[in-house]
Amino acid sequence: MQPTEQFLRSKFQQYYRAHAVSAPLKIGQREFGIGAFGKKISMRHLAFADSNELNGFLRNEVPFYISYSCAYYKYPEMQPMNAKHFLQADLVYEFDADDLQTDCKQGHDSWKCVKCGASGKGTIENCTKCGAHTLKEEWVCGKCLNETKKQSLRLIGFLQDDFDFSDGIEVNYSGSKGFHIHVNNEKALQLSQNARTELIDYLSGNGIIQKNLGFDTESRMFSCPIPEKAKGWQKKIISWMLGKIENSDSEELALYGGISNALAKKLITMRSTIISGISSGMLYQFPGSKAEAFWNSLIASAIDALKLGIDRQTSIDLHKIIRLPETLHGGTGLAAKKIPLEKIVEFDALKECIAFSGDEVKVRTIAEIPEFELNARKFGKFGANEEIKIPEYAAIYLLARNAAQLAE
Amino acid sequence: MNLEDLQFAQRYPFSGTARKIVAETGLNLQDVSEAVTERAQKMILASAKQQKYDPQIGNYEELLQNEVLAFPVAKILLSIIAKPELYSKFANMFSKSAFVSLQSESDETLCDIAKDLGIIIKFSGNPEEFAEIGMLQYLSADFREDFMKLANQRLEKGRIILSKNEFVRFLSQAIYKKIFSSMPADTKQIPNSLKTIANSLSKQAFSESFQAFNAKLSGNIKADAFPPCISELYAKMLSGANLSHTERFTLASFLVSAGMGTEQIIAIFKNAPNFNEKISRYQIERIAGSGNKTNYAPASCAKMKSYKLCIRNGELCGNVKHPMQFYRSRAFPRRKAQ
Repeated sequence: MQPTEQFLRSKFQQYYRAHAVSAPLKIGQREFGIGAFGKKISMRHLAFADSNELNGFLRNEVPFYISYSCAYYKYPEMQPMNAKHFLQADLVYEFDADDLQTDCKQGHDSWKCVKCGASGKGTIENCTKCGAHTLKEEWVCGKCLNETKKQSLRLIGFLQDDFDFSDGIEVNYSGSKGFHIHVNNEKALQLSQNARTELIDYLSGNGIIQKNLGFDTESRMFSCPIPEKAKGWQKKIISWMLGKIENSDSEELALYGGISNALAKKLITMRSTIISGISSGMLYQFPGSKAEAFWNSLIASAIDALKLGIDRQTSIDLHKIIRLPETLHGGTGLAAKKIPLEKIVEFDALKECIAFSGDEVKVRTIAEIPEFELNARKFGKFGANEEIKIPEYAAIYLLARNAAQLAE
Repeated sequence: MNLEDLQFAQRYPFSGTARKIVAETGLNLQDVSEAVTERAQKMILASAKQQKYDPQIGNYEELLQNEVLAFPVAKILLSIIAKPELYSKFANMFSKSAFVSLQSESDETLCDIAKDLGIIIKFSGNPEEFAEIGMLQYLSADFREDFMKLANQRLEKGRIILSKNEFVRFLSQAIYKKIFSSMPADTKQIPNSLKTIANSLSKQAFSESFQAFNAKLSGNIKADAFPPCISELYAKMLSGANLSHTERFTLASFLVSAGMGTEQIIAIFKNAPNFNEKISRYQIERIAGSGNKTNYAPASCAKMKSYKLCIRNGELCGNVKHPMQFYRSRAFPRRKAQ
C-alpha cells in the first residue's frame, strides 16, 4: 500500500473507531458493496446481520466507500441478482451537482483534451479544437451544492404535496457532490418498477400532453384550467404563467413566449385582461397570428422551469446500491451526514460534514488545484507539485481525490 | 337466475356476479359441456387474431350462461397453452368490450363495478370531477398510454380526480390488468380432455398468426441485424406488448428506413393490443412519406438515449451514432479488399 493510501486508511479507521454508524432499516435484508482507494465499488453482495457486525467491519476492514441496497432481499449475499430473492425497495432519488449547470463551474472545473492536449475552464464533452473526448476535472463549491440542495427541496415539495409521501422522508449529503433523498414508508415500498417510472416521469414533466391537462390552444376558443380548481401539473403551470405575466419585463416575456420584444411590450399593457382571462379559464387570444404560438411556448417554458432534473435510470433501478448515510466518502473524506428536514435550508455540507481534525499536515500537490472551500475557510489555488501545509481535513480531501500526495 | 344478472355477467365475465353464476351452476372441469368449450375456443381464437368477439345471443338464458361459463374455461385453456402474449390479447379483448359497455352504464353500476374490482373511490355527481382515487391504486393499473400518465392527471396529496370519461377508461385498464394477472391458473388437476383442446388451439391461435408474418418478413429485412434497441421494440411488438407512442413511432420510422413496406409494418403493428388499422395506417404512411407528406427520419442514438430507449447505453453497439448505421453494417457487411 502506498503511504498516501496507508495514511488515509488509518485516518478512516480512527474515524470509524470513534463514530458508530447507524444501521439502515432491516439491515439483515440489505446488500452492501464496498470500494477501494480510487474505486467506488470493488466488491458487492456483502451482508450484515446487525449494527454490531456492520460497525465491526467498518473498524477492521476500513473500506474507502460503503454503499447499501435500496432493495430488501431474502438472501442479500447470494449471487446472481435473482438468487437474492427481491422483496421490496425503498424509493430513493439522487441529485448531483454535476448534472446542474451553474456559473461557478467556469471557476472551479476544467477540461483537458485526451488527444491534442488543449484545455479550458468549465466542462465540455468534446474538445473545442479537435473534437476528441475530454478529461474533466470537477470540483464542488458552496454555490453548486446550494443549487443541488434547492432541487432536493423542490423534490421534497413534490413528494409531500403531490404524492403525499410525508412520512419517512430522509435526506443525507452524499459525501461529495450531491444529496440523496430516501423515502421509507409502506406506500413507497410497494411501488412496482412501472409505478416508479411513472413517478419519475411526473417529477421530470416527461410525457405531459398539454391538451390533456386542459390547456387547449387548438380549438376556436383557447382555454385553460380554472386556477382554483387546478391540480398537479395544471396548477404548477398556471401559477408559473400567472407569475411571469404579472412580474416579467418585456424581454423576459418575449423569451418565454417566443415572441418579439415589441409584441411582449404590448402584452404587458394588457396584463390585467390576460390575468382575468386565466382566472376564468381562458387563454387570451390577442389580435394577430401569434397567440397560439405564444401560449404554447409559455406552457413549454413553464414545464421546463418546473421539472426536476433527476437521473431517470438510477431512480428506477430497484437493485442499485447507494452511499450508506453517516459513512465516509472515499473521494473526499467528508461524512455522508443525515440532515433533519427542518435543517436543510441552512445546512452547509462543506462545513458540517468535516470528519477530521484541523492539525496541520504537509502534502505535495500533483496537478494545479483551483481555489476550494472547506470548514468556512478558503484554500488555494495551488500550483502543480507545490508543497503545502494545510489542516488535516483539507489534506485528506486532496489526498482522497488524488490531487495531492503525502509530502516526505 | 335472473336474466338481468346473466346479461350483466356476460358483459363483464370477470365480475363477482359472473363468478357467483359460475359457482351456482356448479361448473365441473371434469365434465364441461361441449357448447361451453366451443364458446371458450371461439373467445380465444377471436382474441388471438384480434377479431371482434360479438356472440349475438340476445335474451337466450342458456346461451348467456354458456358465455359466462366459457370465460373461466377459456382462462384455463390459455393457462395450459401458457403464452403471456395470448393472455394479453385475451385480456385486451374483454377490456375493450367492457370499455364500450361501461360507457352506457349508470353511475351506480360504474360504482359497483369499481368496488367489485377492489377499487376504492369517492364519487361525486359531477361528470367533470366524477371520481377521486388514490394515486397508488391508479398506478397499479399499469397503463401504457401517454394520456393516462400520472403527469397528465389532476393529482394532489396522493389523490387523483377523474372525469367520467377518464374513469371509464381507467376501469377498462384495471379490467385488463385483472384478467391478465389472473393467468396462468393452476392447471394441475386439469382433465386430459381440456389439455387436448388446448393443444390443438395452441397450434391455431399461436403458431399461425406469428409464423405468418415472420415469413412475410423474409424479403429484404434482416431482423437479426437490428440493433439492440430496435430488436427490443420489435420483439415487444411481436409478443403483443403495449408499446408507448414514442416506442411505436421509433420502431415504425426505423422499419420504414430499413426498407420495409407499409403493409408489412402494419402486419407487425397488428400485434399491438389496441391496434387500430385506420390510425396505424395513416401514421405509418405519414412516416413513410407517401401521399406527398414529409418523411420522418428514424431516431439517432442520441435521440434514443433521450427517449430512454437506448439499451445499456450503447455498450453492445460499438462505435455507432445511429441505429441505422448498426443495422446496415450488419445486414450488408462490406467485403474487405484482399
